Amino acid sequence: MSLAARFRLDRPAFSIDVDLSAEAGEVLAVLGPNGAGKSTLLGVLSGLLRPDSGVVRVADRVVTDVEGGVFVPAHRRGVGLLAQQALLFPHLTAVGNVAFGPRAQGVPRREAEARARALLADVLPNGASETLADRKPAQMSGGQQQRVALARAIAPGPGLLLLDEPLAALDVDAAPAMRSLLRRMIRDGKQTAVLVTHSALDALVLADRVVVLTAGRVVERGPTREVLGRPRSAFTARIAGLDLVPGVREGDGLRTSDGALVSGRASGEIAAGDDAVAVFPPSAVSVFADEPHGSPRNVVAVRLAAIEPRGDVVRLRAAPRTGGPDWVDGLAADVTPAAVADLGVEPGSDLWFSVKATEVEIHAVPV
Amino acid sequence: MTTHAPRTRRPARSVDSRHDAAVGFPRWLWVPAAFAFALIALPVLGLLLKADWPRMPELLLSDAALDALRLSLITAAISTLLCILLGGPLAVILARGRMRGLRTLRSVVLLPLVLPPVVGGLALLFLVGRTGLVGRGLDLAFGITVPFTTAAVVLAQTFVALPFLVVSLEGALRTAGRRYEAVAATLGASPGLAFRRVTVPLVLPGLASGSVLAFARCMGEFGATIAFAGSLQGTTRTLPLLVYLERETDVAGAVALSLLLVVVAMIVIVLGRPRGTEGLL
Repeated sequence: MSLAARFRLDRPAFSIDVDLSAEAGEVLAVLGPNGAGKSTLLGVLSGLLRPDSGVVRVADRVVTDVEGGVFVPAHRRGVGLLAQQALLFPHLTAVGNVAFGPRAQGVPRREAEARARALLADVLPNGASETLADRKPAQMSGGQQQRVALARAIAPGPGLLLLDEPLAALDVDAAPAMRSLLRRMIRDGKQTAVLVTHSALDALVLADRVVVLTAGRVVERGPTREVLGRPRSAFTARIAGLDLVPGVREGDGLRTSDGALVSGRASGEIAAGDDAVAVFPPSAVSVFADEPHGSPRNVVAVRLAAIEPRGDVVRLRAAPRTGGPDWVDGLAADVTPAAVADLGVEPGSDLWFSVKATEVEIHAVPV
Repeated sequence: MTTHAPRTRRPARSVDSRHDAAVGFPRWLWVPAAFAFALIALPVLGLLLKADWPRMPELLLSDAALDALRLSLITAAISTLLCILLGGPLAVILARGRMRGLRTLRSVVLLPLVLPPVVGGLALLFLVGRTGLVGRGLDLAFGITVPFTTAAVVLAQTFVALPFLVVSLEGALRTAGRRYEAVAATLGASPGLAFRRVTVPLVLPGLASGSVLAFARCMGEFGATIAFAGSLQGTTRTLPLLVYLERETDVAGAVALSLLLVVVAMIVIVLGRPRGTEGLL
């Protein structure tokens, strides 16, 4: 067990009481609304906050044990942090920033800088590390800064890396590339990490397991796809807000467990046979009473489980038909009230859900 | 994303002033504003007009003038160094400390800013003078008397200049925030290492402008010096004291030395103005 934390911290208007863990090399996503206690959690893990009671173990070492009187200060924990803001030291070059951690551990300058250059070459796109390595942060874009910050965070070889909404401050162009970079460096690099995020997509792509935190308590936990695919708390449902279909990558889509092919656009490189998930918004789903023909769409037979009014749309929840594929369970389709009236359906009716291939994104997911 | 650079940037000006139709200000403000500007600029202009330019080299190179200039530069440099060595740590504690009573401490530190310097000089005299609280001990134990020595000049200048350095450095430390230090800690840097490699480099601009301001204050120091150190040529008679003395006997000499101090002040403004004065006065 590379991370085991069970602690309680009380403040006048807020208390957090959690118990969570991660295996070595595992990424644990922490989802939760604002004020759920995510920052407090990170503060306790990194050693910037002292809990009122409890024990925190990182890489099999007790770093906080209130009852036992143990409190290892932040700089001796081996817990790294990548925050929303890159927070690169403005007076140091990219190499100087990345070499900072190893230098602090006593690695000789030359060796630390060689390691920093190698890491920069790893996190920056082809050739960019040559030009950026000796630049100060002010001369880099936000996306480049965040990449350098990632290199800096993993350079000391932390036993645990905390990722505090690492994509939230990036613009829409930079976020997807950074997401795949995180996937490569953290997941594929077997870096034990805790990822705090608002985004179901980040959790899906980066995390093995998820805990959902609400008002300082863990309300849901489990493998990412299960928790997000069948949300049990209102928050998870809202944050998930997406239809997910698990399967393996094949051709230009994804093969589900029952052999159906869902076509979509791959996000990033995914090898055939890799575990993947097809993701699409409920608003992209069209609903038919009879099987539609002749259009390049993904179509699946479902049974209507529930009708949920949501503002000016109506969300139709799917359940499997008898003998039909069970991965449709929980799929949502947002349609107008007029469309519901036209269909004349009620829970238990048989329907066809259909979604255009262009609306479906295929993401690689943790095994 | 250069916005987290720790130094405070001046707000971006509207470049397109030809099209800028932003809400203005009442035009009558121009009148008092013009008077205010004139009050600052005209006296300096008067000095320039009054100056005896042909005799300028002779006036500035007199023994008394050179002695005073040398003494002023040396004492101001030493005092500035003392301000950095003593005021730097004080600023760190004021900005980063979490104990109670820091607010009171800060108010006390600001005292020399608002206190008439001559009062400060008297207070120093009563403290370090031969019969004073500390002075008596120094005299009995080591035979040291501080008042009316060059050391007294340095002490007086440090007393009045310290708050300038402390305030601008504290501001720089607060602007830089603790975030970078927290990041340094997560990278394994001990508090000492984080201070040396992160905090100090981050506040270097603030430290520089604070030092320049402190130096300027030292160069101009008059009241505390004359009360505590007297006016002995070569020992305690700094430039401002000489200007005051010559004013009665040799007006041309006083003007020449005044212009010298104006030049020093100008250099200080060019070097230290942008960040140093923000939030200070």
